[in-house]
Amino acid sequence: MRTQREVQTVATWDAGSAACAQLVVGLHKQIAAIRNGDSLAVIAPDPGAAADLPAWCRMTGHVLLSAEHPNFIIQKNC
Amino acid sequence: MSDQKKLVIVNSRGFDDERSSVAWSIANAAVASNMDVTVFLVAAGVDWVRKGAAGVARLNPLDPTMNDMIGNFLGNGGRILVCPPCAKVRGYDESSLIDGATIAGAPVMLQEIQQGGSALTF
Repeated sequence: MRTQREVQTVATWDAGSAACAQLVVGLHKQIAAIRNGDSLAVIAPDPGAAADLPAWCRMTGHVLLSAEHPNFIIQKNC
Repeated sequence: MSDQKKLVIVNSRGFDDERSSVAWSIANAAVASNMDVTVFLVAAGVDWVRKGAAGVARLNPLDPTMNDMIGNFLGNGGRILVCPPCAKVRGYDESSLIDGATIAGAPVMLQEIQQGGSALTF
């Protein structure tokens, strides 16, 4: 996993208070808006995000490039 | 990873029970996670898809409105089945229900499980 500074992102999504199901519902919409291979920076302060975002990436096939709660970088891969 | 996993969510909870909001919220997360999701509405859960019923209902203030969650679920490929006798006893027919809700019984739901789907019940 790379550090935040090594990855170029095309967009940033501040998830605010989104948690649990609504965190990935919002993330699903954000990922749909970028191109395959591009990366999205996500700010997810909810404490559950540290476990939820890696799990979502494993399920969907997107690549979690960086995870330094509350900052995450996800590369679209489908 | 690209294979869609089947999930059936059986929701028997209606407007007076916060658990119905949890059921729809998890259904939304599942379609957002590329799962093949069927919501099977039974008993009071059937009321959620009567035309106009969900309206601006929000059973948990941290969740979107129920209307938004049901619309988002259908918009992302989720499927809604409505238990036939549960609809009939309430006087509902297909014309009473929102677009995307289908009256279909246990065999259709069980087929999803027979094909490898998992089930969550509320």
